Amino acid sequence: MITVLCVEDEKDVRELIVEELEEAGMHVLQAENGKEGLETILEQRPDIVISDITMPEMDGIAMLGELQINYPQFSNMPFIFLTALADREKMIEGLGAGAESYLTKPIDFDVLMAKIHGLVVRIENRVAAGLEF
Amino acid sequence: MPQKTWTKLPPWALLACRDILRAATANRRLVDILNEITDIITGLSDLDLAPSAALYIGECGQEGHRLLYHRHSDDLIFPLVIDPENISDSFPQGFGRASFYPVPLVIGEGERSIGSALFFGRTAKRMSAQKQTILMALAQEIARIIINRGGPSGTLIDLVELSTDEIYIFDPLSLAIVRANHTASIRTGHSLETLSRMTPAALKVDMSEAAYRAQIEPLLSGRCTSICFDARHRRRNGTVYPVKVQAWRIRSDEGDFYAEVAVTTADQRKAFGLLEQVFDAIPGGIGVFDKRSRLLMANRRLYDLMNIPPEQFPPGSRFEDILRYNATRGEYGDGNVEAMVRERVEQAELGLPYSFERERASGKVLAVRSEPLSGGGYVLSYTDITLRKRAEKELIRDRDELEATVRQRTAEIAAQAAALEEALKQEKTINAMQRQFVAMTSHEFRTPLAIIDGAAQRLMRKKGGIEPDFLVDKTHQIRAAVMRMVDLMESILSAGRIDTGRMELTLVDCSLKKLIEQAIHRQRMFSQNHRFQGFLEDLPDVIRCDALAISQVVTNLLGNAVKYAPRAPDVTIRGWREGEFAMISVQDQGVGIDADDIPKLFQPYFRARTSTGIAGTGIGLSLVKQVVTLHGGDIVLQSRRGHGSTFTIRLPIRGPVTVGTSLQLEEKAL
Repeated sequence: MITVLCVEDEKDVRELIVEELEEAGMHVLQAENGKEGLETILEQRPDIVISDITMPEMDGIAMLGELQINYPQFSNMPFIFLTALADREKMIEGLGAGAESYLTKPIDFDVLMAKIHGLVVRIENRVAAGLEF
Repeated sequence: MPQKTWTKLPPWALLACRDILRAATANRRLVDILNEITDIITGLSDLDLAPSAALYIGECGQEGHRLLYHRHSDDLIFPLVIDPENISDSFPQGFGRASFYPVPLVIGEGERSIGSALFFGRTAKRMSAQKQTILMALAQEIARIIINRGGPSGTLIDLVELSTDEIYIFDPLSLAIVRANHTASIRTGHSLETLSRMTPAALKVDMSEAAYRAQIEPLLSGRCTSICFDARHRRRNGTVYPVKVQAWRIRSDEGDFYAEVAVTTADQRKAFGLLEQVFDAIPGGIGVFDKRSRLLMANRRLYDLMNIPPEQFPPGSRFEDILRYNATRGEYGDGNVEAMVRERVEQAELGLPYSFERERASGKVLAVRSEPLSGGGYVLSYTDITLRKRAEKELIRDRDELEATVRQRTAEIAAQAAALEEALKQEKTINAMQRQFVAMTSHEFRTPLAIIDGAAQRLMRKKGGIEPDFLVDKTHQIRAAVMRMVDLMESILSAGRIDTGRMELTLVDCSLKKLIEQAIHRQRMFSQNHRFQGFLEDLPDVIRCDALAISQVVTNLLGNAVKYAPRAPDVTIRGWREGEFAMISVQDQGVGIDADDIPKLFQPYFRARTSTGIAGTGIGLSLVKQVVTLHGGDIVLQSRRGHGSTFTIRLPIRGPVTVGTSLQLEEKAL
């Protein structure tokens, strides 16, 4: 079973995403900000992370940066930004930090789920081939 | 001279000869005759002669020929005596800078020469031998005229006339001058007519008539025929020159007469003549003083420039008298006259060169210069530098004005540049803030939009039928998101209204307590993780305010207390009364604000550093501040990074004092 971590400070938004993922049969972890998200990643090793950017305490890009620098063993973990920051500069910054994808709000659930399914297929193929992800 | 020689002469020479004879009538003065004859000869274009000429006459018992007559142009000064055997040696090298022709003065061939005539070519080119012969023939005519002046006394009178010494013939009883020669007139500066009313004694410096009589007494008593003594003559302009006086008693057929010959030595005469010319040619004033500070000689200009009367200060005057005269008139400014005089005399007598500039009371500026003389004494020179000084002053003034203008313009430009830079900086800051505002606003809209759109998508994608609970849940989410957007739009519009000064308050009497409780209630719905505690009992029952605007203010503060305290759930709201004011405070335990951010916190679009990662537009608090200010209240903030914030609002219970009301009050007071 694929485990997805959803990091989002807006409770209503987070709820919608969790619902969608759970309905698709995934195990979903939740975090309210980057700091919580980082702790969850280190403790529970999710397969995929979906994260907002603008959050109190630690924002999404800082969380990804922290992960890349201090925990290289997680550097292959697919990381999807899902943010209301739609400007080009922020997108470049987010992708430059090492994100798999940069999706903007309002959320297009079809696109989000297609992206997740694609990743799930890749992960399952690698596991079947006996490769570490 | 053989007649046939004359027939060989060219016509112009014959005409010249005729003119010479015509000029030499017996009743004319010899000097006038000689002037005219010289003009005729030097005027002959074929001979090409310069206007200068001189006649030297040999006298019995004397070696050499003495200067009888001269007519010189500009720079030629003839020696008084020449050696007839070697005339060219008597003249300095290059005399006249041209060819010169000494011609013997003889009456006819074989006759003894009575002297020489000197003529000068206009150029260095010498004239032909034939022309020189003609010149000699013309000179013979001059010799004939001199010799043929009628009678011994006639010749004597002519000689007196032509002498280069001053000669005075005077009456032995009255001492009155009965005749003076031309030279006397030139040397003394007095006209012949004036001289005829003077005595030789009057011309002498420091010699009374009685003293003069005493001097010539041996002559008058017949004990001797000539006596000599030294004296000094005073010129009409006051200057003085030394003379050797020879007084004569001359016996003649027409009776004895007395003559005085005042001789200046050749060097003195030359020196004085030159000096006088030089002095007069100098544009400035010159005064020569001896070592006892007595004026020896001065030019006219000195009297003008020092502004002193020449008759009061003739040569011989003491420098200190001149200084005293000027000091007394205030020329040297205020001060002790004697001290100023003494100071100046001492300075002059030091024997050192000095110079200074002095502005006279009239505004004339003088440059004064003193040069010591080798034998003691000194030369003072005065130059009028008023114009130069004025030009200098104008130049300095122009320069100063220019400098001032440049300085002023530079300062203006610098100020403009600084203002421009400041404006630019401000614009940059505003631009940056506005960019941030746009970005944050778009984010703020996108979040509720995401909820609405997400909920709608969820409703569509719900597999296996929609349960009533699910529908209610999504509807709530949508409505809450819509409310959020409405609030957001409201606050942006309010900010816009305030920015353009179009915000107007709609004042009503309302219960502040109820208003705050409603705001808390609304906030509880959105922020279920936070605990709100209200202590509002001490608030006044009713205050006059714009209920909607104040509600926005309270909502904004509550929202901030939640937003900036994600980890601290306690929010405390207090209300009380202080005199005529209602007080409301909202306290959280959140991120707090840095001390140096606090003054900027109420500026539009400004966001504190501690807000990093927390969404917001930066207009909420500026709006709060504006609304409170419009109500005539104020807002203060206590905060520290990491230790939460307390915002305290003070609102007048009776509402804002309107501009109109205050104006009416002032008018009444007047």
